[in-house]
Amino acid sequence: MVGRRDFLKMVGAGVALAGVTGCVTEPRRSILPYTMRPPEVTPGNPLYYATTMPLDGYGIGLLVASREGRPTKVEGNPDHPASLGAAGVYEQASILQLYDPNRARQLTYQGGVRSVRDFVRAFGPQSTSAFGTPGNGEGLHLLLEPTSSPLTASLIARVREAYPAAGFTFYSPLSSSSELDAARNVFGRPLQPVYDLRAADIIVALDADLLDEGPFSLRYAREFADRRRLEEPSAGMNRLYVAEAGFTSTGVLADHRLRVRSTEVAEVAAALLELVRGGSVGATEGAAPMGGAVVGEGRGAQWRGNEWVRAAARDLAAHAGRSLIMAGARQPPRVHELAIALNAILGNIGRTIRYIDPVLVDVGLPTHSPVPLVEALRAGAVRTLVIVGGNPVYDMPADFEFGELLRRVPERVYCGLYRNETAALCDWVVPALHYLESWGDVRAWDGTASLIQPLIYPLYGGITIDDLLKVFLLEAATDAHQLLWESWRERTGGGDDFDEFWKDALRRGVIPGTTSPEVAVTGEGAVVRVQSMGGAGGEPRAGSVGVDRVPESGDQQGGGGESAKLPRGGLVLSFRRDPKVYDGRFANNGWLQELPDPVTKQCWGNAALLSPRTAARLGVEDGDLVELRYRGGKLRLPALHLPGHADDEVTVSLGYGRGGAEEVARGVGANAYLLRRADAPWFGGGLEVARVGEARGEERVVRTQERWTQEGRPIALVATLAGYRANPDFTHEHRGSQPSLFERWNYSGEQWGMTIDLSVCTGCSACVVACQAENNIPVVGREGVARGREMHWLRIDRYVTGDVEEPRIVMQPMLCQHCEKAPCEYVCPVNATVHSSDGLNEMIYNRCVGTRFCSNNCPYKVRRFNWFDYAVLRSPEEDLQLNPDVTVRARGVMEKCTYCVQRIRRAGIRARVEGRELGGDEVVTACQQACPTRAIVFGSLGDPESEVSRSRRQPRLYSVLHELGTEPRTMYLAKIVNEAPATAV
Amino acid sequence: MVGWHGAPVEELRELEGHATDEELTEQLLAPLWSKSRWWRICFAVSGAGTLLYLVAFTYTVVSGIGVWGNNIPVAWAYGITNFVWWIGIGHAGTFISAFLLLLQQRWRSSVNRVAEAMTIFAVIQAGLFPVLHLGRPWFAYWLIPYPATMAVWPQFRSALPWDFAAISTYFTISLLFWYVGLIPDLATVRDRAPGRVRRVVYGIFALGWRGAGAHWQRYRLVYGILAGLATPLVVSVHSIVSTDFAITQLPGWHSTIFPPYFVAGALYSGFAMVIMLVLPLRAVFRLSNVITTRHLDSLGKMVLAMGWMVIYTYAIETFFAWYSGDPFEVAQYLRARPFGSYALVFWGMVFCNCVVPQALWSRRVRTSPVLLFVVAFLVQVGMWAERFVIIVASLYRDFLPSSWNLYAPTWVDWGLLLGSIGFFSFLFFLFLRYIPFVPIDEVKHLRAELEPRRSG
Amino acid sequence: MRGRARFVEPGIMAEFGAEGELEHAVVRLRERGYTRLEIYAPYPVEGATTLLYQTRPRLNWVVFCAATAGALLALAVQWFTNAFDYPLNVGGRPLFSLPAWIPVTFELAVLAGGLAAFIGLLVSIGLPRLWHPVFEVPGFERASVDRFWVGIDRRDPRFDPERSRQELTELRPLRIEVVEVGR
Repeated sequence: MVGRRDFLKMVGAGVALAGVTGCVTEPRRSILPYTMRPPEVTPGNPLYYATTMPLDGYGIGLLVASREGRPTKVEGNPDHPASLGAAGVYEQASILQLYDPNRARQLTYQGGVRSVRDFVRAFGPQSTSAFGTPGNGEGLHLLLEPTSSPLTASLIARVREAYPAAGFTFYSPLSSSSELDAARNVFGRPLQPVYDLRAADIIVALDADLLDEGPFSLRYAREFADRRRLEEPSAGMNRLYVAEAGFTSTGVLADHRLRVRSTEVAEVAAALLELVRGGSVGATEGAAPMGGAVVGEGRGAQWRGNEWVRAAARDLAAHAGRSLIMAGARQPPRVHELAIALNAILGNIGRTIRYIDPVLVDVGLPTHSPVPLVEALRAGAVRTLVIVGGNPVYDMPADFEFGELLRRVPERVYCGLYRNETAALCDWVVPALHYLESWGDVRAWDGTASLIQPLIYPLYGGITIDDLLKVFLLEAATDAHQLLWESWRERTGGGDDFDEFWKDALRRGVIPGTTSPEVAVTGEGAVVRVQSMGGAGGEPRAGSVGVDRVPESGDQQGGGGESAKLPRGGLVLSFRRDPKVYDGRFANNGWLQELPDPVTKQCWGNAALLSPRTAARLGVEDGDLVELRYRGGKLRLPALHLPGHADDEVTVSLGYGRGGAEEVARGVGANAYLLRRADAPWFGGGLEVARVGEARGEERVVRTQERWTQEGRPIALVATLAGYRANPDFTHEHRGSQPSLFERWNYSGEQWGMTIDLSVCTGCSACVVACQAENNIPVVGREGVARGREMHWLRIDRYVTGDVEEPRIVMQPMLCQHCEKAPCEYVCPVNATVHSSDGLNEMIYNRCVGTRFCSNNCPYKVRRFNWFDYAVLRSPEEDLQLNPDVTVRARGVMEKCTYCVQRIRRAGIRARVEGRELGGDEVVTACQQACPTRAIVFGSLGDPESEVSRSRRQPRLYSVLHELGTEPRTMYLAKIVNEAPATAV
Repeated sequence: MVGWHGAPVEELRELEGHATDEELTEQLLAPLWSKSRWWRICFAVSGAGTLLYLVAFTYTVVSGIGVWGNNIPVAWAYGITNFVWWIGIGHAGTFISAFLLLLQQRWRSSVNRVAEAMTIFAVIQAGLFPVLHLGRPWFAYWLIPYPATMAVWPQFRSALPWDFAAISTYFTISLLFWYVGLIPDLATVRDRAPGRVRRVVYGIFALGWRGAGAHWQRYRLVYGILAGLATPLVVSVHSIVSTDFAITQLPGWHSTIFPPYFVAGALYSGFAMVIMLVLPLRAVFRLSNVITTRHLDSLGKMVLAMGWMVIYTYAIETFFAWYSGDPFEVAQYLRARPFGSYALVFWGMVFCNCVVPQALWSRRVRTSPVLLFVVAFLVQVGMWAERFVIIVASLYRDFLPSSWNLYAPTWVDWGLLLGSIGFFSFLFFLFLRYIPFVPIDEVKHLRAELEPRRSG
Repeated sequence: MRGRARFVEPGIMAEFGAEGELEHAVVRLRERGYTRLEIYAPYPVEGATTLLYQTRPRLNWVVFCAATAGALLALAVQWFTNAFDYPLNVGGRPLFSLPAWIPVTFELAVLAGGLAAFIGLLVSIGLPRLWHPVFEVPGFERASVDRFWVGIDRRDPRFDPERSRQELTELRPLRIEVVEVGR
């Protein structure tokens, strides 16, 4: 017998459920057969949709190709400020993440499958949980990833209204607030800088990987490269000074690189400031007025005498207003303050730098530090912890013992893409939607807002953060699209033309007029502050996280400050964002795991990177297994000699050694988070390295390139700008036609060719992933790479030049050279590789019998062989990503770069249909398209005005192994380094 | 008989003792009638080897070349090494039969059939590897110019169709040569065989040979012609095999000396193999009167001679690498090979191919079965190592250091090498069991030539 | 029976123990005017054979022609497939790449020659012919071991069973046998 109250309760529940549940799943919509296909779709033709990928809260605008309704490839959105048409490795590989068969598929409670309805019942309006209505949210805490989404921001605000006592924390292991803290200290308010590298002649990067790291790196890389393309020897060129410990992509392009321990960057910055301020650049011992004030006299003197510092200071002084000093996110606020001071003194602010208000929600507030949460957890004050995205159990600093604390929380909710380490400890696990499946919005580093629109109906079901937040609100039914639409409608004040505005925003992938305005600042504050600054290390601010007090967020993120005081000679342990798996979130992505590290060329794992000299001192051979002992923590991983790495420092990539349910990621590499400490998240002293023995089996380092040098062979040519100007023809021996017994084969029509400018190649590997996505290139796994069977059609060869102590690295993308006198062709017994009339070296898979003779005779070794039937290794889900224009190769056949022949033919057909000639620059290869620095130029040599034809007129043009007379269609522009005149002597 | 004893004692003869034709026939046919325990054991062992071969072979075809150790840049390794090694071994047979026949070297008579059988079986092994090492073996026939639906033809600028033609021709001609030589003996077996079945079977293969004067006259003419054809063939086949490497650009392969170099190497290993086969037979079947120390001596001399040709080519090759001044050649010959990752194999090759055979200067070694066998065995090892060095050591250090990589064999690689040896012996033991392995007619003819007329 | 006529079909045969005796017998029989004689021996016996067969058969010319034909065929095929029927740009090499075609040409020449020689042999000696009247002769099986036989064709003008037996007896053979005409 049901009582009246119960009855009413049930009715109410029913009504509310009808509403609330609506907002947490996409409503069913009827699908249409292609017999009545939508007007915009032509079967066989890709459709491009603009969307945005959020990474650590910042958006990168993308164009995503959709084939018959399935997204197949991610490309950059030329209209988006953070992309300018380029796409990095993470953006491009995220398409594979979408189809990842390991993604969480079911909403579970303590292992048992539940419906979204159940979840809503547990936390929604009728929640039975502790904080449930009409509670004030006491004991409720939400742990989110940093976000800049206006929609999410408004929802968070409303949840805060509903549950005033609820706690919020935004955490991402790689984000640092040093920059903002520094700005706050200097300008009195948190501001974030937006650089304009096009206006900068001299760039000084203090441990800043500006070309490959951060939400604006793609843009910076382009701007930087635009100042380095030498159309002719007389053209101007910017100059890049880099001070760093590890070898980053930025270090690769440095004209002057200072090998310095992370802990000493602060001193370098200080010395730089003194020289610039003291104006005593010329003097041998810069007796700067406040020399002693900033760094200890002795070391200050030492750094002031340093050649790199003096050269940089000289150049900066000479280019006031046209220079730029930037500090890296790994460095503590103080280094950023010094950078600001330098920029202020040189009058760069407003010229090469503009400041804007931070775009992240809550940024600069304590909520961006995990400490308050940790404190609350320790105090047992958290009853319900809702973790949205991220993987805190895995990537929180080890000394928090977050996993342990989490276990003590009565009610634990995790909403994420995978059943990872964190999900394993939570009783509610809610699958999250991939950004390619969801509606939303996000802002770029410069504040420009753009929309996230789904490319495909959710594959495995799931919800977005917005959906989840709405569960905690008593809301009427709206689906995510509706929600987004309304939020923008009210933000833009509606109006009749809103529909137009909306459509336009979706089409272009950018919302016009949302870029943050510049905040006028003067550098005075900086200068004043720097003068008032005490001794090195900068106050107690770098102290460890006290249990009693909640320090400013900058301290955990900054770190370093303290370790700068450690006695010299001690080893420094340094953590870095992994160029492949980021903070570990991409660890289950086969493309990225198999992508060689730009500099070490390591695949499938991480290693302890250290300089050969330090290794020799420690008696550690390349490839040895070592144990890192650091502040009570121990970690075993292989050692890897890295020429150009700072001495007495060991760098380890974060993001490996995953222990979640992800099959690809599990057991690959070692988890460096276990050594990470909250007070020094990026680097700290007191590391001990013990050799365990030779690394074997799973612990072995697998690399795609063992050799560092060119063995004295003229392969990747490098010259200084001065040398180039003095002798522009220095590559003449490596180009031009060779004597031959055969008469020339005469070609007609389009003649495809490629030119690669080594001057601007950072080795970021975006092209490699682009090629992999475009051409259905299989992943062969750790064992395959160990056996030397990686399948990449396009690889990036890395060579060390100069002396081993202070090496320079040159990156050389190596792909099929499409030789006109191709050695591979005449040795094929079955005509499986022949030449096309438009100059392509064609590979006919279904004719190939697999003698591998062609590979043996290819001097560039760019041909790949299907040792097994790799296609069957691909999961059915991942098959959805395949490009239907490209054959999936069978077992036992050769394959190689085709210059994206499918794109060439598609363009040709289009031209023929439209009854016109094919333009010389009309075809864009996947690698060319992805390249952030536009190092790759492709087009028809038949058209004398095509970009590639023009590039062929540069004097530094040459072809690799020219002496063999293979006459490659792929040619290179020698790398030009712009050394400062004085130091060049 | 006087002339028989008249000669100085230490002179080595092609035939010892005073056996009559009938005795000789009986002696040489004996292995066909009686099953010796030795034979059973050897047959069982080689059978096991064949089984291993089958397993490795099937596994490769089913799973793909990936089960081998090959990679990029080392896309060829054991497969082609074994191929070249076997085809090389296959050369001595025809050389002994044909070339020495033309030179009228009488000592060839007792060993030529073993040598020819060895050739055929070795060529079978050699022929299997190029097919097996294909990514898609089932399409091997695409190398034949037949009107295909794809309307595509083979590409005759490549050395592989040359190989195909050379090996199939060599196999066919060797087989014919062998069979023609066999016909009279098959007739003999037919006439001596106990039991109707064997008489019929051998009779069919004997084609009704009557030993008539007309038969013998045409027979000897054709045998001569075949020898005349086979001799240049021997030279051509390994020259063509060498072009698999010589026509490429790869340092270590791109060399004009390869054809003669390979032919010399082939005969080198071939003669060594003949020694390794003949010596046990001689001991087991007590044939020292037919396969005399004279034969051992001559074979030893041949090995020594070929050894020196090989040494010469090694020297010239290395010299020109240095003399050319081409950095890639220099790096290959003067660094990668002697001091690279496979230096051990390289120096092993130098020891086995250049140092060991010098022992053959001494007549004692040449005429001592045991020592001769040891030398021959080491030469075999050395020649395999040579092919390995040529193929793998050249590939693993090519033009761009970025693509340099090591090669390590898997159990399948070893299985195929040992297995092919097993299969070879398997066929060889079958041959010993069912075919007179010393040409009876030739031996009797030889006796007739050596002895003075019995009467008249 | 034109084919058969080329070969001696013995009507009567005599067996000898040694090569020398055989040769002697052939000489004597020739003196008596026999023209169609045949000898049977376990290995080639120069003396007697040269007495019987002076003319060298023209087999080598057959072989030469076959070899030439093989070479031409090979060249033709390579030209047709690579230069004429499906001309492709292969590594910028000329379509008519004669030097590259030599090896196959040579190999096919040898192959054709070898096959011609073998077939030529069989034709010229009328084999395979698994049964022959002489096989019925008692003791003939030793002709392949250590005995030497001489046979007189029954179509020989001078052949007469009685007289021939008489004349053979004078040569003191190990035995004399009359060959039954094929059953």
